[in-house]
Amino acid sequence: MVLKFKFTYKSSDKTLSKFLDFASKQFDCEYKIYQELDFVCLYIKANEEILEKFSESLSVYIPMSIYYYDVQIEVIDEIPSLDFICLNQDKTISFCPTCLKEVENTQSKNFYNAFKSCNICDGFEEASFLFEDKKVESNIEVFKKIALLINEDKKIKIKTLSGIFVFSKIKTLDESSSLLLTNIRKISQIIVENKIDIVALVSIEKPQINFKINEIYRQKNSVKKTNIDIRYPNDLTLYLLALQLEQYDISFLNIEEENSDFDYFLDVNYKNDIFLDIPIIKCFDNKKLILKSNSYPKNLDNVYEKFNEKNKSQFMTVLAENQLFDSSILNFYISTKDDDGMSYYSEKIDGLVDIVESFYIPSSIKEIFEEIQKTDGGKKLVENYRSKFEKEYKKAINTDISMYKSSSFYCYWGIAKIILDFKNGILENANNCFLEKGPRIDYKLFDSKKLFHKKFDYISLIKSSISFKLAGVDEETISLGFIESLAHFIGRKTDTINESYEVKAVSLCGDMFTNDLFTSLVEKSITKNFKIYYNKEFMIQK
Amino acid sequence: MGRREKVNILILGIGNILFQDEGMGVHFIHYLDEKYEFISDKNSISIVDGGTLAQRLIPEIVKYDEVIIVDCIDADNSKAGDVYFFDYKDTPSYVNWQGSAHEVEMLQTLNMIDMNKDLPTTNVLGIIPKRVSDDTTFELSNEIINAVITMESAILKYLDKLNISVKIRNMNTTIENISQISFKRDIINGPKI
Repeated sequence: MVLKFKFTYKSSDKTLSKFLDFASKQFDCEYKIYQELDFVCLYIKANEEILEKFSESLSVYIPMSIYYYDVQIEVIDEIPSLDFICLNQDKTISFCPTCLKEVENTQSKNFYNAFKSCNICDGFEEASFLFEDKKVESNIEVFKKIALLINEDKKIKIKTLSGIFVFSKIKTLDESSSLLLTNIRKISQIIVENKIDIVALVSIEKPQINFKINEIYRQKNSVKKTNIDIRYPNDLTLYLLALQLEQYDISFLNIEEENSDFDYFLDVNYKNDIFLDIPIIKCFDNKKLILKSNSYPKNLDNVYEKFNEKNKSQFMTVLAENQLFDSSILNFYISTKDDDGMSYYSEKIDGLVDIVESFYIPSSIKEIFEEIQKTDGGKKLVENYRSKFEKEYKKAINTDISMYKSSSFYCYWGIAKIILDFKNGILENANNCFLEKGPRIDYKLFDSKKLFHKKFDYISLIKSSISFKLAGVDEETISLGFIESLAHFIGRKTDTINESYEVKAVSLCGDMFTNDLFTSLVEKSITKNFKIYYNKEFMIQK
Repeated sequence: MGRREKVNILILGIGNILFQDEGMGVHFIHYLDEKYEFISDKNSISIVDGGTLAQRLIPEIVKYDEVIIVDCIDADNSKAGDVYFFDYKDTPSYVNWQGSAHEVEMLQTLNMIDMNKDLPTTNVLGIIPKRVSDDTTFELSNEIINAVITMESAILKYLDKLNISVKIRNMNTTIENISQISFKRDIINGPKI
């Protein structure tokens, strides 16, 4: 009997395959592993009893991964004659479930051995600790001592697989930039729990994730900030320390950079050259986006370098990661830092064209009001605004906007905030808005016979927002309108381009797509006819 | 004779809600959506706030079998608050329906669809607006407010012919209240297809 396990695994790395290989080797069976695009397939041939045991124990051998989504199992006739994939990779893998079991087993010779590694996972080789100028073997006493020192409010500098950091008890979250979660069961003490984020946090990649701080903790501890970056121990030194911290009821540690003050240093003497990346990710229900990482295939750097414009470079990486170079794809690159871009790629037109030209960014608010007055109904609109919001109008006119240089919607939103005299930024306001729908803000391209290289009508955008303010709509609701209407614009543009040119799918990149609200609105606005692609291992915005 | 297939009906509100009476098409479809539950064992009702999207509504319109467009119109010898209900293909000569004063594209949009022979059966529920000024407010004129009863009766009669019955869901719905929240209100009877 042959079982086929088909894992949806959106990475080209061999981590899952290596674990599957290890698991299969523990059973009397014939097997083959095949990996292509978003899938890893394991074909395993054995008698029914062995296959049942294998299926039951698979979860023991296979850790969770940020790239793993689901698995389908089916019975097939024979193992197909495919080439077994090569399992070699440069990527460092943090401790595996098997090694973890061993270092926690009091009977094992590796009990509290922070340098345990195996064929699958990596660690410091031929290593020992250096503590207070003395060489120390890894054992439970070392970790008891460090945990005690931390409990006594000492700052401990520790050499980890990802570099050197200073760890200490949390004083106030407002002074912390990131935390190490040392007790997963106590995570809700500080943050708002979310199953997808928590599973990702403890996955084999051990990423850093931004969490919302819960209101009870904020009020009780007078914390001003709303969010905090958190990661989970990604090497055995930190993991074993975390176990010892439990007896002091310490569930989080403050993380500081290497050059921060410290009281003690737990250094490591080791032989090999090793570094474990800490990816920074953003989790959604249906995907994970990488914000920062060094663990992607390095050929993507070459793909990225092919264009000078960041929006096109990024688009190329989406095409490369999803193998879409023979398709027709419409890309939206929306960024808070760079110039935005909308471009269409098709093999049929031998490349890439811009849908929209670089946006015009006005040099002053005065210029914007002057331009509005030249439009139909614009004079009356400005007059009404000046008389109804005299203070706001004067303030806006006298505000310098020379810092807004990027050709981006985000930049226009910054300018709109000044004109409308909003207390908070458009994105922040929209995120705080509890309504499901906002007013329709105009996102229009100037009419022209050509379908490409169109100009964006920023005056209509500003005019419509002024109109809603005049009509008495509050700033959070107008801000939601700004975000929602851009999402609808993206949806409409997709349909329009598709009417004249074939669009097979849409690609979305740029850091604006790490915003939950915006991304969900864009995904809702793009009709189901179009599949949506994102970067997989590469950052959503380099 | 075989049974008639399911009829998908679209009620499309047109207009710019920022300019008083000119947004009546949009406010009225929100009013219907809030006030009534539409019942039919065979046909479907979809209510869409078309705003000023005009040509961008083409992909939406062509999907339906029956379309009722609610918009402001102009007509000879008419006064504010007068209501007209007519077949688009048989538009009376005294009706000058060019959409609203700010967006004249709706008529062109329907013409374009018609030229492509994609236009579903289309009726227009038109109202003569009072104020079409450049002041931005959601307030409506009394003439328009008083016309709601006629508009409601016309559209419900037509829906009845299409085997759609209605049940009042929210008795307290008024066009004055709806006009203040149309811009942020989610439509209950959104697109079914």
